[in-house]
Amino acid sequence: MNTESIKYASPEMHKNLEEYSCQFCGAKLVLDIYEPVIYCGHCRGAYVSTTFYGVEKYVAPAKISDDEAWEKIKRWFRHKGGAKDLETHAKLSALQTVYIPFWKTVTEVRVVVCGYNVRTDSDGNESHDLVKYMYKNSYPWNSIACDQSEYGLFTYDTDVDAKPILELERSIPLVPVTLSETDAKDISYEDVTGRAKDDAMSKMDECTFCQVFLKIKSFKLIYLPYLQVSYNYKGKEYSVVMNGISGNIEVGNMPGDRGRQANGFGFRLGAGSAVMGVGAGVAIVFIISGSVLGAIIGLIVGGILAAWGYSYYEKSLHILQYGSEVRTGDQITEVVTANEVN
Amino acid sequence: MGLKPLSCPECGEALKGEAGNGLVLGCTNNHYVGVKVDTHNVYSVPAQLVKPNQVDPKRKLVFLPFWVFNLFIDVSDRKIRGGGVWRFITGQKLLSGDSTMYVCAANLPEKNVDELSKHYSINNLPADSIISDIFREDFNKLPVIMDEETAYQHAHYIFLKNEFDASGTLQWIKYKFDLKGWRLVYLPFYMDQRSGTYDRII
Repeated sequence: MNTESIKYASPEMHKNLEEYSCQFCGAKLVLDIYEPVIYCGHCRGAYVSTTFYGVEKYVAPAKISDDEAWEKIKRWFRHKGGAKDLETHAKLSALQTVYIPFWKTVTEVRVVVCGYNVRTDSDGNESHDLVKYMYKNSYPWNSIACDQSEYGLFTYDTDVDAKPILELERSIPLVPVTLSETDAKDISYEDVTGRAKDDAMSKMDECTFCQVFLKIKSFKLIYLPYLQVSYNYKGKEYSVVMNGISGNIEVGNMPGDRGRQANGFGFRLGAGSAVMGVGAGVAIVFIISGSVLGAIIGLIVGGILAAWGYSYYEKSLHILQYGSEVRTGDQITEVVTANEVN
Repeated sequence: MGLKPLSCPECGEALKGEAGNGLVLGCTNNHYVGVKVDTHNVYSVPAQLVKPNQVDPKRKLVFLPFWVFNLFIDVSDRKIRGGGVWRFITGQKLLSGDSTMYVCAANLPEKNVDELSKHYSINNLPADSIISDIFREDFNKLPVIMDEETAYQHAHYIFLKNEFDASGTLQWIKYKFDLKGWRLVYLPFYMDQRSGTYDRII
């Protein structure tokens, strides 16, 4: 009776191995994805792969067409605070679908946790009900595998229907992986350990001992489609990044409403400054007359109004959605096709 | 993709093998070599074979691999509420001090791995066990599917599981493993060919 066999290699390795032959006798190498070591089919020489060992790569096809994406973005322009004529005057500059890599793991965690629950009787006396648990749980984790500031993305929460990268019938632009497999595993271990301990400790009022043991059950690289869109509005470029499966706008910016800017700057900041001025004047009068309370109140109220006005104005300059501002005019500098991925 | 040929760290011989060898290979000079898949390195493995005193010819003899760790387990603090009398009556053993922990490295269901590991860690081998340090490759064995480092982490789990399973309610424990030495040991089992399970001989 055996457990589910452990996979050591990915389907891509099978394909890539066709190019290699034994260094000792020149015969073909035999790769069994359930074996950790690769053997020569003739002289039985042993080898191990030094790159992307055991990582399976998947890609989720895009479900949003270019036209659908632009229509969704135009609907998004109606977001409160954006320029009122944005929908009519914005012109699409560039739109491309790129495939961004994400590391995805499923980690099995075995937990040993001990502690007690506090019970209070009708007289208010406390007693402890001792508890101990030993159980197993699985935790998923994912993280972007390239520079997150480039796209304003960190993780994905979309249900994806991904297929092995080898099954792709055409080349697609893949963003290179910059977060190494080792670093991804370390980060996932840290995250999963924290979540497992939090879950364990939530089972009791007080935890006195908790230890977790981790084992990665699945470790994959998944390429997800995102649409990078640039549009022009009155001579300035703005950018949007849209999820190519759900159609949600992940990161984007748009010019603010000029009316709101005038409101914020002219009226609110102006009114606030005016109140500050009145407050200062009152302060002088009250200081002269010996009472400073009114002066202080005037200054504080004026200051609050002015700050509020400036904040309103600043926010109305442009509208950001999620993460950091997406730089305009960004293009991918290096693209690899699915066939070139190791 | 890069490929690295494997050679014995003891004698430099090129390692050879075939599917089913798992993570530990033997070289032609009878050295045992472990393979670290994630770092693509090899390391020497001291290995032993424990022979059964008697063999039933009607049953299929198979050797299962175990990573064995000689430890000093320093339990500086332990609190188990209740269960002391029952532990005394049933002779339940809590591990501490000089201990030898066994971790089953065969591809068995997790429950069986834990049971066998715990059994041999608590009971160890009988004093009259026949242990060979040098043995030829031609014996029926299951492949090693867990490397030594992973097995050492599992030893911590087996230790805590033993504490957890003991009568009473464990509240806290503070302990440290001081590793003195480790080796790979093949123990004899009979394989039940109908059910695929393995029955202990020792």
